[in-house]
Amino acid sequence: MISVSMRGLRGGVGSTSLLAAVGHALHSLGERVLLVDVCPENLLRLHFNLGWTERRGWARATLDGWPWEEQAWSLGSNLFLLPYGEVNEAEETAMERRLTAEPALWRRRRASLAEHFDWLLFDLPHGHPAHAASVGQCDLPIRVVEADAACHVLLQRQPERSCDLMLVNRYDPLCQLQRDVLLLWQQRHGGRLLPVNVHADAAMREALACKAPVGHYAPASLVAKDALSVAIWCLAQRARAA
Amino acid sequence: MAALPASFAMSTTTQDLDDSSTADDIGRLRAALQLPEFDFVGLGVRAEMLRALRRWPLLDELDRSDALLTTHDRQEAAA
Repeated sequence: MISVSMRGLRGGVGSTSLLAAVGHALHSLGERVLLVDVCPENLLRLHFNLGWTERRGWARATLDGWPWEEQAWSLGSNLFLLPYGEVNEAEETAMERRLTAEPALWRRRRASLAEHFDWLLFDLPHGHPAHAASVGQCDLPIRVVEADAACHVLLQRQPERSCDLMLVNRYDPLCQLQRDVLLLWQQRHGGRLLPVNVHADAAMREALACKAPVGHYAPASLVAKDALSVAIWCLAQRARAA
Repeated sequence: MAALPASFAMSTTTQDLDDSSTADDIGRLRAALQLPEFDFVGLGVRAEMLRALRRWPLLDELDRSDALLTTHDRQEAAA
């Protein structure tokens, strides 16, 4: 089992949609995949046609004292989703406090899931440090970035030895600024950058509006092919590690 | 058919070809000149980077502060 985490370097870089797309792509390649939403916004489920009024999820169950493992949805053979669940602001804070007190919660749960899946994909929140820390170090920890000035500033502030990989999302090769920022990153963070850039494509936004991962909504789109390339890169990393 | 001169010596051994560290031209040159510290500088890329920094004042400012910090770190390490 290989664990992958995706976390935006800042909010709004599209990491949830990207995680849904990569999870769907891995499944289309014949892999057993579980997607876990660790973001209190609870949006990942909407990429897989769950109802807006559906409140269940692992965090909701944890707060209510119900078994978390009974909250997963089967989305077809060998593709599963564990939503966060609906919580209000006070409950979100209570969950963050609980994860601070119990920092290894998801590390333990990961061990119990390992034999059932080839891939565990975690959608990590940009904020909520205890939520993100509870998952622990994944095999492929990915920071999702946009090639813009804000991400460039935030990268500069990161610790020198950060070992997170970097995946550029919403890349527009016609934009001079994005080309320039990417050039600087290739020189300074070349070893951390994935060899695939995910292109800006309206199909990605439309996919969420249609409650589907982009590979299902628009399989011929550029961004769906990029997500497939990321999935193939993930398979290559597993083969390399074996 | 012309025969190769008997004194013709191949400068590259089979072992060299198999060595992944010499699989690129720069690696071969480094090995041939015995320059292990030889750093390859892509002048074209460097010029393009300078143009990129000139275009965007914020990127330029960050680059300068980064260079200052690096120099400061080096001085501290030397002290």
